[in-house]
Parts: sequence; C-alpha cells; structure tokens
Amino acid sequence: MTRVFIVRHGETEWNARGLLQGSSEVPLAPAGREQARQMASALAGLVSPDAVLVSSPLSRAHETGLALGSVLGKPVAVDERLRERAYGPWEGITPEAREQGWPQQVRDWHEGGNPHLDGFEVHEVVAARMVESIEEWATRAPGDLVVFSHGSSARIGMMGLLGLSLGHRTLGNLGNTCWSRLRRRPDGRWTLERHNVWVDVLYPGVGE
Amino acid sequence: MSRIILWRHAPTPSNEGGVVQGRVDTPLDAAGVARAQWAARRIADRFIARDWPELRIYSSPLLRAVQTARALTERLGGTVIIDDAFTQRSYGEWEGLTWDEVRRDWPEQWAQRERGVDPDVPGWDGQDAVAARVLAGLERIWDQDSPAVVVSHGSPITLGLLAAIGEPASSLALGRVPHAACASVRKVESGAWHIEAFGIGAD
Repeated sequence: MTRVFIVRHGETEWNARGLLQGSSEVPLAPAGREQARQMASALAGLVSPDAVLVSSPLSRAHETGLALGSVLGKPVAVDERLRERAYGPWEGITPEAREQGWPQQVRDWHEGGNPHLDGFEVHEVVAARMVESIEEWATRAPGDLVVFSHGSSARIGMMGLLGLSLGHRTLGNLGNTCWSRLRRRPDGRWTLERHNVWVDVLYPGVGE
Repeated sequence: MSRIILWRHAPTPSNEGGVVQGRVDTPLDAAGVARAQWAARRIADRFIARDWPELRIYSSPLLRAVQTARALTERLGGTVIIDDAFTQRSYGEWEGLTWDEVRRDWPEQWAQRERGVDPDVPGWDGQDAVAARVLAGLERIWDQDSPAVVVSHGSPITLGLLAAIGEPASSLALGRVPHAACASVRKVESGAWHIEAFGIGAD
C-alpha cells in the first residue's frame, strides 16, 4: 500500500507579507530555508528508504524538496502539474488591494467558490492536474512518495484524491513546511491519515 | 480565531492488548496517564493561544477519556465537562473480544466493517447515529469567541468529522486519529466546517 506525503514549501517574503504568489517565482526567505532544514531532518526518519521525491517547478517548492533530497541522497524530480494555482491579477498585491478591487470575487473565494477573474485557475482544473500527477508518481513509486507543492494546489489536490467536494474548504491549507499523509487502500482509493503536521509537535524541542 | 480540538484518549491496557472496548469502561494505567500528560503539554503549547479566553474542556463520560482530559485541566486549570455526545459507540457482542478473535470468528462482519459499512453484530451502534450525535454535539458547543477541547474516541472523532464536512459515515476518506493524538476543526463564516489538522501528535 502506497503512502504519499504532501509537503508545502517553506516561508517566502511574500508569505510573510500575506501576498498570494500563485505562478509567480518567489524564492525561499532565510526563515523558510531553516524550516526546510528542520522538516528534512524529521521527514528523513519517517519516509521509507526507497522513497521517491517530486516537486513543483517553482523554486520555493523545489528548494524545500532539495533539503530532504540532500539528507536522503536522492534527486528531486520536477513535475509541472504540481505548480501553484495561478491567481491572475491577485498575485503579488496586498489583501487590502484585493478587497478594494474585487470585493464580490473575494467573497466568493472565501466561501470556497471559484471567483470570476481572468487568469484565476479554477478548483476543478487544479484538482485534475494534481490528482493526475500524484496518481502517476504513486503508481510508479516502489515505496513512499513525497510531493513538494503549495498551499492551494496541495489542498485542492488532496481533496481531489480523497473525493471530497471542491465547493467547500473542507480541509485547511498546510502551513509552511507542514505535511499531510495519505494512504492508498486496497480498493485503490485514498485515506487521509495526517493533515498539517508540523515538525515541533512531533519532535518537542525543535524550533522552540 | 476559535477552534475545537478533538483529542483521542490515551491508550489503555486493553488498547495495547488489542481488546475491543466500546462502552466497557477501562481506565488508563500509569503509562496511559503519562502519555496523556505528554500530549496535554503539546496541546497546551501548540494549540492554545496565550490570549484565548478560558478554555472549555469536554469529555466523553468513559474513564479513559476523563482521565485524559484531566491531564489538561491539571495543566491549565478548569473542570472537565462530561458530555454524552462524545462517548464511544457500542461494539455490541464484539466488546471484550480481541481484534484477532473478531477477525477469526466474525470474518463476514469484519469484512463489512473494512468496507465502511455497519457490521451485522448484535448491539452495534450504527454509524449514521454516531455521526449525527457527535456533529450535534460539535454544533452545540461551537462558539466563535471561545475555543474548546473535546476528549473522545477513535470512531466518534472520525464519524463526527465526516458528518461535519458533509461526507457519508461510510466514507473511508478519513482514517483514525491515533491514541493521545488530536484533530482541529473550526466553523467558517459560511457555516461550513473546516478540518485544520488531523492526527497530530503521532509519527
């Protein structure tokens, strides 16, 4: 039975400022690199020795993945389908500017809907590419699969794998370098076993 | 930002020995109490914001849950509020058997349970009823200005969360929270429930 760990990237400067990144290329902040290092030392002891690592092409996710790859001595493959949801004109602007320019769309979005916005990638499209990618890699992986991705695409991808309705935010977003774990059942479908685990809960003393 | 933390009781000697408990009121031993204390420290440090108002701590009436809840009141003060909405389901005639005996002597019923449906076992509490009573309990205690901790059991936590997110009780989308670990859930503006974290405090 395959297990999939889905990990969100470490903190960036835009995360700290509350800006949506989406398809924008924003590097890890120094704090995000430290988070990635802590995540890597924890996850290295949890994943199977034959684990396969795969990442979104965006550097904040790939660099987070490389932190685990260097501990395990493994490469990190890149899959375009694991990138963050595109947010169109909302990328890089403040929450206040979003609220001012698009009040109705922000409300729709907060209620779990798809806002009508040019360039905003809707839930169904994100879910389809995430599920297709993770299923494909999980089928090929001999043991655990570790996926490095993003707040929105990871959440929507998990909801897709679990068959949950995309119309509500039934799962919360992962925190930076937090992870979830899913297991494939004998019937081929998925069960959520962990969601939003962060390293200092598992290992007291780390990061305190 | 409020939340409800659903905390599964620490393991009893019956849990460690693979014995079905259900409504059998098995207490924690010293090792179980120590696990509860360790978990209480993690919950207090990581889920309870310093600026929160007084925390409400609810528990299933069964001893193993009440003892687990007390590990948190010993740390944070307050009293344990006993609430039947969060008790364990009855496992009927399976109670007192080991899971190995269940697999051996009740193979058809075991397979039913693995598929997510209620096994045909005399005295078994049906999953739809368990899911509905736990969700009713969560709705009743939810307060957007006041967080709460609920100490409960494996099946009621999973079934209550499935009901909260609108999934059928037969869904296998959510696993079990391990003993002494927890899940965190909150209700958002639209009235929908939102699972923030699940299975926290275990490997």
